[in-house]
Amino acid sequence: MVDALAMEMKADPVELRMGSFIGPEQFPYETTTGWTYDSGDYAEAMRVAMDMAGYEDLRREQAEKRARGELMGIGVSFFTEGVGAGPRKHMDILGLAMNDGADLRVHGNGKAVVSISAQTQGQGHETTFAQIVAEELGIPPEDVEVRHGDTDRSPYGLGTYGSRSTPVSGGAVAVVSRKVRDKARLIASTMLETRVEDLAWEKGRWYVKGDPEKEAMIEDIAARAYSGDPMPEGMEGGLDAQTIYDPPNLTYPYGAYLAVVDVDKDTGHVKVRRFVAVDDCGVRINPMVVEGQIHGGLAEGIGIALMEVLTFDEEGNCLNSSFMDYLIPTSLETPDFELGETVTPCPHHPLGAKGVGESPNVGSPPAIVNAVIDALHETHGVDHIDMPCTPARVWAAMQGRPEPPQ
Amino acid sequence: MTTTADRPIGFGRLKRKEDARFIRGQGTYLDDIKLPGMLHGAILRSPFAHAEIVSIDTSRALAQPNVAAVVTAKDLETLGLAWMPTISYDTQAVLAGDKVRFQGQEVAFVIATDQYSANDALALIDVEYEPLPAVVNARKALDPEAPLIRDDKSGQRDNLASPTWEAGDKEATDRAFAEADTVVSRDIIYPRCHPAPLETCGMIADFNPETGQLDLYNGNQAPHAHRTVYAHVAGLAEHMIRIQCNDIGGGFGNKVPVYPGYVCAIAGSIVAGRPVKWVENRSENLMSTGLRATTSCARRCAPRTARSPACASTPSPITVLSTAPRNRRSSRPGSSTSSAARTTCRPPTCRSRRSTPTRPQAASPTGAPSASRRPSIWSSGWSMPWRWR
Repeated sequence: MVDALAMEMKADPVELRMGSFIGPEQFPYETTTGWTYDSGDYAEAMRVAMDMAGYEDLRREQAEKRARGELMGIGVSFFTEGVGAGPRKHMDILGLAMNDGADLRVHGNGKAVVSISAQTQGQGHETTFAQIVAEELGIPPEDVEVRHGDTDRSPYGLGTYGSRSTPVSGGAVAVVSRKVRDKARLIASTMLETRVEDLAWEKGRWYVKGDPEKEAMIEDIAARAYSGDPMPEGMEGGLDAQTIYDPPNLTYPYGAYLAVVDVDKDTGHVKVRRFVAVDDCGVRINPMVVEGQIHGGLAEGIGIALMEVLTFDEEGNCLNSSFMDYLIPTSLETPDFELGETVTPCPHHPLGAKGVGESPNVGSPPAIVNAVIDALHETHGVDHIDMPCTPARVWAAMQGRPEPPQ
Repeated sequence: MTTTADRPIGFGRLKRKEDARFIRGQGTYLDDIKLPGMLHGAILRSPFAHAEIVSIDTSRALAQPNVAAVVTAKDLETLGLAWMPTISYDTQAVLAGDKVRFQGQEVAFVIATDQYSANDALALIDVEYEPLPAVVNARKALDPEAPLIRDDKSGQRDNLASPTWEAGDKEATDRAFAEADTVVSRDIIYPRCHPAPLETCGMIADFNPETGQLDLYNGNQAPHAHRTVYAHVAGLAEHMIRIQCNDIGGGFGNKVPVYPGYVCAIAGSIVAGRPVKWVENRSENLMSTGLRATTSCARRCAPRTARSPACASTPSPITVLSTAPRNRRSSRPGSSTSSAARTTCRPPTCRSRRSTPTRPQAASPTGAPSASRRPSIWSSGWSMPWRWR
């Protein structure tokens, strides 16, 4: 839509966006529809993306190619979305609160088991959630086992979708880890024969302020918790805790994306030559896992923009119910993605993290479609095209006969 | 003494713990699981998008030596399992009894000693259909002459599947557009796309009639919520149901809903007294499971000018108005049931245009009414078209 406006105003789509962003000082930003954006520096993400892409060089290249009769398009998108459903005051599924539980037990050997309600489908929960406990307690991630996907062995929660694992379950794991850390502090005070308020935390140990050699490591505290030695007054043995996390707000990840496409002027075939994606999802727990999520989502976005549609005839017969004719992208259709990041922590999430799973799916289709229109607007007068931009549809649009979608 | 500096970091580029088993081909996906005495299920699906079911004759299939049972809507009615709730606050037939409402809808469930026998028996079930006109176009679904798909729902007079809602300040928005120097508008279609996870959906149900314990193996994205739904639909105590997901070969939202095949596997295990496995094939996955419905929206956009602060309370620099989706329709042709995941969201200023059942509830902290709050699956205000067991 912003590109359509830029076209109408004969403005550059990047400049129009840059002049229209909500400023970083305006957060938390209350929208007119009632949701509150948590944090962001939108213009900065856009600047990083344009620097990475070399936006002005690309425009020059486009002009040169156009002079030679070649069709090259540059498409930009900027998005935010509310993810991490969610706050029980605002949402539910079938009346079930969209909160998630976490149970954490540190065993006497210092190794931990954390049970969560979010269920991984391949996106690396066993690693990411172990890292959260590791970060909070200072024990190696290898020593943290993540249990999930078994209703008899995990606490109640609403699961994984809508980019909610880290915003909700991740919050739960951080909170439960801190509860365990607080209990460990009380045990440490007994072990070190000092007052609780005289203890300071450093990853993996409580130590006496002003006397850092006097310390209790987390595994020693855990051993103590299960030993026959006395516990602090009124405290039960064991080192564990549980929680149910009700997020105070959604998280609002955002990103600035740029796609460069080449359109074959004889066949209408669109090739995505470059894709630059700058995402801000707050603090990244495991950047490699985040990048994997983004790679997958960008590939899906290319499929949505260029290839995928389930079609039906007038009688409702599905015409393409197999991978022979429902096309999903492969490595042949996807370029080497160029990823960048900015980090604006989420102010209400215990770790400052935001969800990211869906971000690339939100941002990539408009960038690609905008690029296709950009390739064809000046030479062929195309100002709108529907997804998927298949060769047939693009070619028809180039002939001035846009194919009306169902 | 170990210094803290020697400790591995928490956050950072740690290699994935789960990859060791995946790259060695040692993951445990649903179809890898084999239980002793396990039977195999297959689903007969409707070839029509919209048709009356005149009769179903299962006798030829039942006569096959390896076929243990054939389940139809009639059998499910006696078990109280004929209909189930969807997470879109709708209801869905587990197996079609009166009529089919989309191509690929589940009509009968065959249980046999092996997968090939179950598939072969599908061709021996005789179903007589009376075809009806279908609705395939999202934009025409609300035409007055469009065939009514969900005539099973009392009071349903059109093909509108979900309540409409509005949010924001209409007057201020209209004013902003009226005063803008430039306004552009577009009709945008988001096509039907499928999440297409590489592992399709499936379920192994293992009901123990001695203990009443129901063990389910099913890769889904919300095991606890699924357990609540099964407890509700089957009338079982929630703690007597255990769902184990094991490894899942992708979900992308496709594995959020509860599908009829899952309930069929449960019914099959209850009927047969043995574990029943059902795994859909690729075509079944693409045709009958949750996907992104065709979404059509009319959008307007105008630049901010000095004269037209775009919105009333806090000016948003660019006004983008997304009208209530004009035709946000079914995920399937001929159907008004979308099983795609949908959360009920209540932005503080949201006003529901359609009356929905409400339950007593404290006002939200913002003091705004929660007009679209609906009854919980457990509450008496939640009405089901079937008998409560």
